[in-house]
Amino acid sequence: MSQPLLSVQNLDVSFTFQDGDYAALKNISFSVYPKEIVGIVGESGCGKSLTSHAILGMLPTNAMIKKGSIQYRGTDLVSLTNEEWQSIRGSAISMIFQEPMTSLNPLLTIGRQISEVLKKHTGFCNKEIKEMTIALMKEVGLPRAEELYRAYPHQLSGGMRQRVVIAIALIGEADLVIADEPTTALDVTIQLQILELFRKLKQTRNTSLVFISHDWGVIRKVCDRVIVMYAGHIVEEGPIEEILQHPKHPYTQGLIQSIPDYKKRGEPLHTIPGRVPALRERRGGCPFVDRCSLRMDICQTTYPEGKKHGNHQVKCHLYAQEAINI
Amino acid sequence: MSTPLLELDKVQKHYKSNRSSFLGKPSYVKAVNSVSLRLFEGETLGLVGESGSGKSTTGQIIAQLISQTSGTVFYKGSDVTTFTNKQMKAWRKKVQIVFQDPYASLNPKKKIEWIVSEPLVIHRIRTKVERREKVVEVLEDVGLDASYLHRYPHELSGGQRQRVAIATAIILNPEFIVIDEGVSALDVSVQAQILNLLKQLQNKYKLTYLFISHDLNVIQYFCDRIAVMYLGEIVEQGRTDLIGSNLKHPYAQALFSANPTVDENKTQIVLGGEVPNSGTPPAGCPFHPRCAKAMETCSSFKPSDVHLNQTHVVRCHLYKTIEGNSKDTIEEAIR
Ligand SMILES: Nc1ncnc2c1ncn2[C@@H]1O[C@H](COP(=O)(O)OP(=O)(O)OP(=O)(O)O)[C@@H](O)[C@H]1O
Ligand SMILES: Nc1ncnc2c1ncn2[C@@H]1O[C@H](COP(=O)(O)OP(=O)(O)OP(=O)(O)O)[C@@H](O)[C@H]1O
Ligand SMILES: [Mg+2]
Ligand SMILES: [Mg+2]
Repeated sequence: MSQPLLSVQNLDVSFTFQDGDYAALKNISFSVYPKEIVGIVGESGCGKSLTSHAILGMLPTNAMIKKGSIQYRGTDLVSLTNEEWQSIRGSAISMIFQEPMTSLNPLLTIGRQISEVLKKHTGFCNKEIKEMTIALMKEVGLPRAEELYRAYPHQLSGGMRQRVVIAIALIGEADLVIADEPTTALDVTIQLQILELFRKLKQTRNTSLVFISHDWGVIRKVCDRVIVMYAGHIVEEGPIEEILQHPKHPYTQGLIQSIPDYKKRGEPLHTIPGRVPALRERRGGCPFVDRCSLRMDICQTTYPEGKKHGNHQVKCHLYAQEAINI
Repeated sequence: MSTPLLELDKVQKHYKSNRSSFLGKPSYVKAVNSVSLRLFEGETLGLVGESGSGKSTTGQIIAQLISQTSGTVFYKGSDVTTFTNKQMKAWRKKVQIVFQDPYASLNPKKKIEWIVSEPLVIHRIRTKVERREKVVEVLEDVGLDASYLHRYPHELSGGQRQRVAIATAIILNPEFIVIDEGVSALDVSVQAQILNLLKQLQNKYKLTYLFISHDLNVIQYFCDRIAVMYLGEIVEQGRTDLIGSNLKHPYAQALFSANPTVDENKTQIVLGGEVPNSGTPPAGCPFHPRCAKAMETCSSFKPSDVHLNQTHVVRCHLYKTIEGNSKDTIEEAIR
């Protein structure tokens, strides 16, 4: 296989609170190859956004990388200075943030915000920049582009803002785009148009994509491979159809059973009893142990090793006997 | 039939547009165009449709966070604009909204405890100690706990913020909640918990929901009725079980055909044409430039509502009310 574009190895990230440090990401290891679309799913608060912020060197001030490496084309990003990281962001790796308003300035017009980024990346004159901006707005399916050019973020609908953020992220023609819930505010027809755009980028520019989403239908539509996270850990990873048909980890199984469906009308949806442990409550052993209906004694005490079944990997003691260690 | 809990009658919302206008005449964005809706106590109406079609605007008009340009909002039969200040304050307690973008709607300078207890404070409910108890209780209801009390919104994940917004909306035991993409940032297991919670509250207190979402799987699971919006108008409304083969409006058909699911590969109806422009909406039917079934009339005459039966209404020239028939015995007109 070719060299991975991105390779994260044994990454630990902790938050510092008044009473000490608490791990929010533990032992995160995964790779993304050129032209690959990798999905990340997992419980709200499990660390999906945090993982992507770590890759971009944009961790919150109270968080830090404790150990591990993040290699991009063989260069370790963890040791980069702020300026070096700055030059990677947007041009080599770009990010579509989860909530559009976190990355838009409420006081500047949409046109201005897209143009500034375009200027930084191209060096064209103002008139050309304006034309490019409008063309880009149309490419991501924004209606009445000329008019929205002059509009402020609050004058746009949620899905329109999301498309602005997508447009900005695509400007630098980055090789790796990390998209954090990029289509949640879009209706399914526009969503498909955006997914099509991502697929086109993959075909024509070899762009790789990390696609964070809770929408299994969308994940199935675009991703080659999917990573399942729980409470700061990667618990399972494999080809999307394989995971949907034969999930191995009890957490993944519970998750897939909770997918809402017309056929389940009138009855309560399946849920996973209990809730994810708070950062302070996380102990050794398997992170899912308290909520697992199949737990064994060993799960309380010992962290499960990763096991490989072909290209399907799982970290769960249930499979200890069956497979090859990784 | 009983009085609807909430009714919108020909509601419009027009915004002055940013377009430099020709001859100095101001132009307008018709965000919501002649929307009529009824919601009955204890039901859930799903509002779906194009991004930018006016769903959030409709939701905010219902909660009277913005006022309509024309038309009337009735609550239990009375026009909400005639409410006295005192009535309005009481009404605001009963009608809550969960906003689409939790990051933008939660005060970034306040901790979670302050945010969730604010409605209690405004409505002068309970002592400080009781308030904290109540806040912890609703946080637990939405799958969070007391450890979040002293955090700021930016210290939460997207889905945790969304759950804080839901906790704030349910803390006053409202009668009606507008949920604008309120579960869309949640993974499916937490989403299932929240949907089950909303259903429980509904069964217990006869709560009524307007549920705005792009997730058509959630809509089909959760809602009793649906209304489909396109370019500021409701083009079709009816019971949820229409979805499948009984949707009539070509836009509604295309929308639901594009829904990605985990167990089927459907043929998708691809929408051609440019995305519509609510500043200069097309003459006639707003959907006609992209409609595969458009006829000549569609480009010049606006279709009016056709009642296919008591609950099923479609705004499309392909269907018409057969003269002389009562509203619930209408056949599909033959083209
Ligand atoms: N600045 C912060 N200070 C303290 N804790 C934080 C901070 N930012 C995030 N967290 C915590 O870190 C954990 C991981 O957050 P992250 O945003 O990565 O979750 P996520 O997987 O993206 O969830 P979601 O699907 O809800 O967006 C969460 O439990 C969150 O509460
Ligand atoms: N304050 C405002 N000023 C000008 N135009 C506005 C304003 N608020 C909304 N609009 C416009 O009104 C239209 C409807 O917006 P709305 O937010 O209701 O759409 P929506 O159906 O909720 O879309 P989405 O699914 O993307 O959230 C959009 O064209 C939007 O640009
Ligand atoms: Mg997140
Ligand atoms: Mg909206």
